[in-house]
Amino acid sequence: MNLLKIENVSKSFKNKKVLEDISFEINENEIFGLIGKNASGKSTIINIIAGILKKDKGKITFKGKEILYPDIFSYISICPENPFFYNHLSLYDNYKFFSNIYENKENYEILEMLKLKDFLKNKFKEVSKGTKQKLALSIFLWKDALLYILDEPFENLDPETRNLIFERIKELKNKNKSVFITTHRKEDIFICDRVGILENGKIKFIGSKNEEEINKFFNGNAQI
Amino acid sequence: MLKFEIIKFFKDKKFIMFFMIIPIFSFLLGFLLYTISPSNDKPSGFLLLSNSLNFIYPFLCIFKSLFGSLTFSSEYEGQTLKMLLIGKFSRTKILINKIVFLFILTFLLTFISFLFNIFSGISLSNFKSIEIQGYVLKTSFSLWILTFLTFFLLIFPIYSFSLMGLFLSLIIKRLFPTVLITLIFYFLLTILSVFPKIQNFLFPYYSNTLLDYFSKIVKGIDVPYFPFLYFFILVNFLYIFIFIFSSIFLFKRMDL
Repeated sequence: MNLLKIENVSKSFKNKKVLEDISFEINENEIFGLIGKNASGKSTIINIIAGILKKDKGKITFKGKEILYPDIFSYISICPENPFFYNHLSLYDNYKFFSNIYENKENYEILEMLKLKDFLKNKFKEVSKGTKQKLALSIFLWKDALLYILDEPFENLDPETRNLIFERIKELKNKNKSVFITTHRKEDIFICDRVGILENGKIKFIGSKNEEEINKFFNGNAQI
Repeated sequence: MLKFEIIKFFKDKKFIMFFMIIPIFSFLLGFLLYTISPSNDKPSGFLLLSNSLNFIYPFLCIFKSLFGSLTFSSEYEGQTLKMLLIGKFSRTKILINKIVFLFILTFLLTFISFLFNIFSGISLSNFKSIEIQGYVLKTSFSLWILTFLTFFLLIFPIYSFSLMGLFLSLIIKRLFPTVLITLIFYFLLTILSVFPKIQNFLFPYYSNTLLDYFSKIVKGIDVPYFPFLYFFILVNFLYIFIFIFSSIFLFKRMDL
């Protein structure tokens, strides 16, 4: 059964079509990956699901019902690309505040596991991009939800943390949850059950990660 | 959320420094005015207070319009606004929290500046009596009530300026242009309030009239009953509602 369904969604910015009749769905207990080059529209679709951008047309449903904001965030956890918290606040203050607004239970064991504890007193602007990403994932990936949407979650992470995140995603799947990730890297899709290719704002392919189309995409875009 | 807005503000050293400029300026101005008063006796504190309020008031308006324009443009530029939108609060609730916080800030900034001004003059001037046309009269408690009422009514036009800044920051989204356009609007409204045909509809004129009233009462000049003051108060509230509702209307429908 599908959990999140996107039907014929289009979006333009100043007459430039960024998304054109996008349709795909994410099923229950599934890890779905959306791959595409930079500026192919991956983040735009996530921002539309999040309600940050308004769609020009189309329909987005969750469990068969039209999405209502902000109620949907009790069921969906969205980690945006390059998450930004308050620069002048410490990691601890940011963690506390954003855990509150995302209804995430504060769990300092996770911060310990992600090696964030030593940085808690540091201001957000003082830490590395990887630490910022880890802080965001510690909130969005450990929050209780049915669907986890992660926009390029492995960017800026060291191999050790990436493995931890992969383990967490597998754990979520074992708990009957669904995960939707976007990426432009081949090494990230091994974890996905199904993969879609987004090119120039259009869905080119949806299917298994082992299909020839996927190899063609990565071989043809060896530079990314 | 409101609690966090307050914590967020008071943990930012730049904001605190910015916030404290006006009260310190108010303290120094009060001190200067009370010290250079030509009278041999201790001058009337109320009279000097009315003069310094006239002087400080435009700065309060400018600073508050800057705070208002910082409210959203800093969230846009820091890209933290989209982080707020993917949480449990609706757009309307996020905006209302910011509007309430701006009111608290306006109240605090005006009140602290006002108190600093009184403190700076309390030992140097005379708040116990007032000299009117050669007669020395003991000040009654009602003058203090009038002073605080004037202060309270002055908050609303200052708040209108900060809401104007907030509304413009929603449209412009970037810090520097927002601040610049807010200041242009401030000066434009102040200049326009000189013209009699339209001045009744502009909130700078309301505050100037209020200050003028206060100044005249303190000087012992007879002030006629002035029903227009109520009209000004209503116009000012109308501005506040227009800014709040148009901000909510815009924020609920816009792409971020």
